[in-house]
Amino acid sequence: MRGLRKSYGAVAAVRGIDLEIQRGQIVALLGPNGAGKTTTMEIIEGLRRPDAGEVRVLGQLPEQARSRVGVQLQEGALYADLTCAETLTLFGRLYGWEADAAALLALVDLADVAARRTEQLSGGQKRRLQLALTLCNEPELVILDEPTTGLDPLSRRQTWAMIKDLHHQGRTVLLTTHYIEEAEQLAERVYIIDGGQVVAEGAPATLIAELGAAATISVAADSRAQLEALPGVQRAAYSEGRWELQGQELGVILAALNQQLGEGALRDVSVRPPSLEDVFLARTGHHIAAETQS
Amino acid sequence: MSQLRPPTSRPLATFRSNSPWLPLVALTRANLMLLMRNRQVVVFNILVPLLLIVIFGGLFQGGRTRVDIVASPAQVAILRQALPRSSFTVHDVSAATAHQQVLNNSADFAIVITGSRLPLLAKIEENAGNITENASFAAAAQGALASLNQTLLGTPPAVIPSVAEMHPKGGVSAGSLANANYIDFLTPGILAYAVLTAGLSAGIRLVGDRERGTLRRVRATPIPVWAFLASSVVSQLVLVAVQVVVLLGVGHLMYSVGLGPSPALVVLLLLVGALCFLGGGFLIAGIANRDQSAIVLMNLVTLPQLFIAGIFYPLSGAPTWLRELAVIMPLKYFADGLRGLMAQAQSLRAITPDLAVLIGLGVAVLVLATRIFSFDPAAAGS
Repeated sequence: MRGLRKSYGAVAAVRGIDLEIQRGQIVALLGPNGAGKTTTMEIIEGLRRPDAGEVRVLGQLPEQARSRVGVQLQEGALYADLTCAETLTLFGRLYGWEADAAALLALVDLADVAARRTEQLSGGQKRRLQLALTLCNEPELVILDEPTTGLDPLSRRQTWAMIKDLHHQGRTVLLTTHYIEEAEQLAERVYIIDGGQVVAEGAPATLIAELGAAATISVAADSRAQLEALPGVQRAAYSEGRWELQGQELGVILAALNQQLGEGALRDVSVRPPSLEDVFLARTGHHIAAETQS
Repeated sequence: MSQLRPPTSRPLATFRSNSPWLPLVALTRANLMLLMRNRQVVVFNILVPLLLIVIFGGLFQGGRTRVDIVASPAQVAILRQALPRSSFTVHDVSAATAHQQVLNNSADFAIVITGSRLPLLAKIEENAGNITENASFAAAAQGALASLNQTLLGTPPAVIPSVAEMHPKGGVSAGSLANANYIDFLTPGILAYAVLTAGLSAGIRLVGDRERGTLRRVRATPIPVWAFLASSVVSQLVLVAVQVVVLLGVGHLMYSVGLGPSPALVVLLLLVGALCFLGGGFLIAGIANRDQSAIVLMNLVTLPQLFIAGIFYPLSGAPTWLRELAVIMPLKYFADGLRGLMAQAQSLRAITPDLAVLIGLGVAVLVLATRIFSFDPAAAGS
């Protein structure tokens, strides 16, 4: 795939996004809900037309590329009164393929509910069936919209393993997520999206290294504490009762904090290695998670 | 999934073809399975109309209809054969007797055939006091005359029928529905109603599928829009075929209901009606964004028609305001057309206005529906 490149404006949801995806990569669009990820995906899937810009999927227009793309939409999207096996067979044929329903169901650990109607599946089982559905046409590109939202931690890890498996089979994977960990775990390349625009792009490790911070110190403190001026602090941000400080020299920062706030006032401190969350924070000035809840 | 298999050598799917027929057939098959498994479809589109026919047909299944016939012996024999023995008693009488018996209600109606050379003149004499049954009497008489016509064929028209209402001196008597051939009146109307509800409820299912995001998922596959629509149409026609077989089958077994002399025209009219009301379903799916509101819309459209469009009683006996209201009811035209063909032995020409209304309406709703329908839940109903 020459990749796809797209920029378009006007829609408030997406204000000029460029994506370029190499064949065989796992690429994540990371951003809070409402950032424009789903709209972007829907344009790539050919479900929506951009107001402006150009899109090529596997070298074709999105509508023409449909047969080579596997899609998992965010919503239910299943016929309630069809069984799991019937659903896979139907969608396979909608693509012009004869799906091996048994093999697909075994792949997502649903073999024992093959004859059950989809309305009787649990939320996690539905998700897995949708994941299997993305493969019923042996696609070159798999598009997953929030593949693990609403899943329990175990199911999430299983889904991650399966996505990596898709990658090992040589398929290109494009997924959206608002989970930092998911993007870090899976993506070779991540596009951080906020307010309908790409605010950062690159390999997760590179993006984190570019912060130049050894760690992030999170401390509960007053917004007026003016911690950004502390020695050793390269970057500071305040939100919802907490300061997040980044810098190379942890010892220096902690000592200065201790001095500034006083021993007793220094409560509830955590230190963690920098993550894409910090990249997001550094580029946008706010958290992904805070937006997610709204 | 916990023990993920390594990339398998066994393919998960094998390519078959790029032809649009494969998705079209697969989606049609799935639609039919969904219809069969949908309790609401089975109950509301098949069982309820069936019960209406069985119950109301049975309720008014009174004694047999008494017919006086004034004609030559050969003609009497033909007419006698055309009127089902289970529902009619036929009496060969003089013209004066027939006249008298119709007036005093000891005969339900009379067929008086005059002339010795073709075309014969056939007068159907009814008692004007029997407001409710006259439509079905005329239907039965015309059906019988149609078979006389067929027998005498060669120089059509062999029989020219006319209807004469005769007014008894005592004024209008309350006509009773206790008559065998009320069922001939009722069945085409209920069938029309069943086809109407089936068409509109297809729209409700569409709204539900859209609400759940299923339609978008289907749109993300390469199936062309025309093939998607065609599969809806084909599965709808199968549903209507099942309705016809069940409703008319039971109607025939229990009450000797038939398709009338032109079954091909009945099929044509059913086809037009089914497509017209399926278009109505698409229109509902274009207007409503949630299946609750679609159900409300459908009831708003169907229930008044069930009671006003002359399904249970002939509009000829209804108050003027009701008749005027019925003019705007599409179901009236469909029911009238079907009744004309099945019970009154009407020709294509006689039902052409009904057919034209349905075709015009069908085209109008389809055009409108394609303009406002959306596969996208967010854009729907806006």
